[in-house]
Amino acid sequence: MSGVPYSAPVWAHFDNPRNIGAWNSPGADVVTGEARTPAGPAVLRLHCRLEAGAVREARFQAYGNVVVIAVGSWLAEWLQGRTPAQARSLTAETVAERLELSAVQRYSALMAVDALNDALARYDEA
Amino acid sequence: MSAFPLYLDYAATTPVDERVVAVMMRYLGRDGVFGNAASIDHAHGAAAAEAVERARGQLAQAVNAGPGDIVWTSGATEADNLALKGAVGAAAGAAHVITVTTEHKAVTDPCRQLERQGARVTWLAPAPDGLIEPGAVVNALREDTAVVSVMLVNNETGVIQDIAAIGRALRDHGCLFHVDAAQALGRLPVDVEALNADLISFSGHKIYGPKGVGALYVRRSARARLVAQIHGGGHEAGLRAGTLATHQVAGMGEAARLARQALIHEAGRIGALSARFLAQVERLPGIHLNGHREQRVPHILNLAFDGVDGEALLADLAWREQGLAVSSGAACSSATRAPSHVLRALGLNDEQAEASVRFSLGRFTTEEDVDAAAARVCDAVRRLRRISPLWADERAA
Repeated sequence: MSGVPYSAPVWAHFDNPRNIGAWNSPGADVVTGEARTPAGPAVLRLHCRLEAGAVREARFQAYGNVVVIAVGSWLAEWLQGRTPAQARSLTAETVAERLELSAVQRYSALMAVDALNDALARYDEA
Repeated sequence: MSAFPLYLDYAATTPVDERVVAVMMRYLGRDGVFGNAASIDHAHGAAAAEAVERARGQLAQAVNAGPGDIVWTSGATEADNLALKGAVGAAAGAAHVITVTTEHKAVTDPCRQLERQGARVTWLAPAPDGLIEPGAVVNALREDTAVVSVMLVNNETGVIQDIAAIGRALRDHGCLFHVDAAQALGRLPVDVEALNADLISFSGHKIYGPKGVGALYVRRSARARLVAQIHGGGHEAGLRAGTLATHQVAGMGEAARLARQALIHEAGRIGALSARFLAQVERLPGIHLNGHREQRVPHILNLAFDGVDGEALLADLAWREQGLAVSSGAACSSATRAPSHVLRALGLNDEQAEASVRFSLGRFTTEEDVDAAAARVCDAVRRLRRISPLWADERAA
């Protein structure tokens, strides 16, 4: 529909989010990370199942506006098959660029990186 | 299906009724009554003046007022400004104002402006159901209280204040009592005598009339205690200068006449549609109706959805397939994207206030519309809850 006030990649992910949800009984191979915003009640939760040193499958859960949900969906998709080292190289700038975020939407890109780093820190602990 | 989504935002504005459009068209073109209603020295002006007075009579009759008690304005916002600033301006020396935190911005913003100019304002907080006790208003009165302003129907929640009781309690205190009735006209009987109010604001575009026109009812005894805010020709008995927009005024008069005629039938019909919609949506768990459950107009349903962000829900409803035009509360707050001051005043936290959506039904809403809308809302809420970690946590707890 015309007039949608979001970038095309944001809308595509919000309209049809991929890899949603969490595992019912996650095994030791699943790490979870989370990010919240200080200003609003938004929550982005990321679940990664690692196998042979790479992300075999990633899923996300998000509470927040359209962009937060779109960023979660994009991130879970992007992570498939990446190694922790590759995942660590992801920056908020890249997320903002890929999703064509405006300046005021950039906090969502930071949420993505924060949730990812939180999950990776747990992987390091394990 | 129309190109636009299904419209359920009648509290923001209404389409102009075709019968109103037909009346308005008579006052625009060269062959119509285009004269200046103040130029009564010739037939063109006299005919325009006659149209304005006919409309004044129509609005007056709709609210049981005298035609001489109606002052035309550019809308309810201007009427609210005239009532508040006009009453404070007429008071000698320092003036005190009493109002409620859940009022429309057209009342709260003028009150803040008056505060900046030295007036004292008492802000009353309603109970969580949105209602104000008449006793609380009386307790806030001071010797220098110039005006009390309480709205009849809240624009976000539809809650109806007991204006008649507040007016009765204020009767012997000497202050003016102003009521913003923009959302009330055409939705429930509005009788200026029964309401015990001195000043009442009305809007054209909330009653299937045009935008850009409204009125202030001014009780005769209050006239001398109100000063004009717009000067330049002494129109409207010196209370509001400016050439009247004949077509707008005529349209609002006709809209008021139609609203009064249709009131009983429309209130019953929309009440049934609203109950039907609510029953379907409430089949989902975690749905809350904001504001008093009974003491409200049925046209407005303000619902909070646990575990779902309001902005995401609105975007889903507005822009995905089979769209719905609904609002996050007042159209004026949507522009600022801040959590609704009305819902915060009812005790909701930011999260709950942001998870709230206002559905408002109107003259052209059908049973088919509400069934489609309810199904669409349930789908969107289920979809977003599948994604929501808050909803998952709540279910797991």
